[in-house]
Amino acid sequence: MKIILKGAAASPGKIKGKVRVIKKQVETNIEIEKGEIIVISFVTPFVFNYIFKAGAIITDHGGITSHAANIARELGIPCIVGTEKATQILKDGTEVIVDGDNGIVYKE
Amino acid sequence: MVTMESYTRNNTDKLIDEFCEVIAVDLLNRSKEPGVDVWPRPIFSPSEGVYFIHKELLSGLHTVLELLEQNGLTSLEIAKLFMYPSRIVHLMYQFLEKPTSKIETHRRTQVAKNLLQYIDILRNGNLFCKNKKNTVWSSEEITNVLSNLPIKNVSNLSEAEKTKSIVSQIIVALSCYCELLYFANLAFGREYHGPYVVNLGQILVREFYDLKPSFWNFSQNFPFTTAKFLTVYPQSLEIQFDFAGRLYIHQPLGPQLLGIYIEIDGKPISVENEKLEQIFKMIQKSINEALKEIKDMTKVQLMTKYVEAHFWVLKPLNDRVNIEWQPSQELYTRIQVEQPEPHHLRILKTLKDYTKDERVKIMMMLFDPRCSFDDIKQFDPRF
Repeated sequence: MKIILKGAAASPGKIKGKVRVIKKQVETNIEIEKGEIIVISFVTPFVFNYIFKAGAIITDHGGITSHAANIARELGIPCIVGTEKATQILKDGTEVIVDGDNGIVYKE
Repeated sequence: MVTMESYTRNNTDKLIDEFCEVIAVDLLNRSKEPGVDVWPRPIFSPSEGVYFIHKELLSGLHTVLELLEQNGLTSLEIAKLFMYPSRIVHLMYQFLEKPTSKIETHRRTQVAKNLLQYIDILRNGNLFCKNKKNTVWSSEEITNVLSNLPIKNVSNLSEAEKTKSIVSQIIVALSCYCELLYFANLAFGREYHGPYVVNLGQILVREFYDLKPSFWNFSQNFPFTTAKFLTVYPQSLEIQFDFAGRLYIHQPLGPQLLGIYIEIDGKPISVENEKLEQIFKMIQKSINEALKEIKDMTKVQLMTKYVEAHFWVLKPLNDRVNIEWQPSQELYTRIQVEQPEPHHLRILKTLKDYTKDERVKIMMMLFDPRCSFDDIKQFDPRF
């Protein structure tokens, strides 16, 4: 497995899934498939309608008390925050493994 | 160059020194880039809001506190008007922009001392959450709560996993709703507190309040004003708080839920999945209405709401002395015509050039109500 990204481990757990990069943070009509890995600059309340389907969350900005981290821990899904460049590096549909225990994103 | 030593020596009020250090360290531990990862970004930075708010809000706060004292209210009574401690901490972010006169500096320092006293009262003497607990309830209150409130053991429920999942979804939904109301300052509408150690495990209390402020249209249809969740987790789960009431947990919360008690508008709610799903759907509907309203707002419209959210927090205090809670007409006009240029934002953007210790010193000066920008400029002329 190849390490493609590192950040702060904000919510534990490991999951494999397809990347879904959310470019517009103030958008209400985003549809995602259950289990997709949400990749976003940072979380705003506009994630509400799709966050419950997410398999994991990866953000560019924020620390372990950020809203993304709080949401992920409450829902029990892995989360990596503060990667600085996830939205630039990760592409829609790419299959990755999110390791929320260590804050690492792998590709097989 | 102002060294940390001279900076501390020149400021004798230890409580304010401690406040500056605690808030600076917490904020820098929270994120490498304070303020970058929070709503109302990407529309505007919270710092731009501070630019508009700080002068009028802090001077209004000074006036109203004086009037309340003149009317004979005790510190305890004034503290209770704020309701919860973490919302007071979030008001103190207004110190980031600086006073322009000696009298303003003096008043701000007085306001800071008063606010710290109220937080201390509302946290039962645990002002800075030094033991990593946010002790809004005293030991008597927690004993009283436990003897009177029937906390449901989740493992006894027929569909326990589903119950845990819906409870988590409701808590996330209410947090999102709070963020829509109060932007990054979620603490204006919610207080998480505890953990309180009991026989069952440890209780984390999540209170959502002031959910129908009049400055938003969408909030008028929200189905309730307050919601309280007493959630019990295993003793092994490390639950910690910082001074701002932010929760530090490294483990997933939802799946570890052992017990639950829910109150909405002061009335207990039966912990049945059907009932919980109904509550979630009501919140979901309200959030969708809110998102629709907010999505098409301009930056100026959204800034107006951001400013109003701060002044709304002072409403219970203003009401006691018959002062309108809204900002002045002059401030509404400034929001329309003025391009915000927050001085402190320029400083925050340079933080990455400094060592960790230097970053803490700069943040301490930024939060210090006794410091002017001229004082900070001595640290680095670029400021």
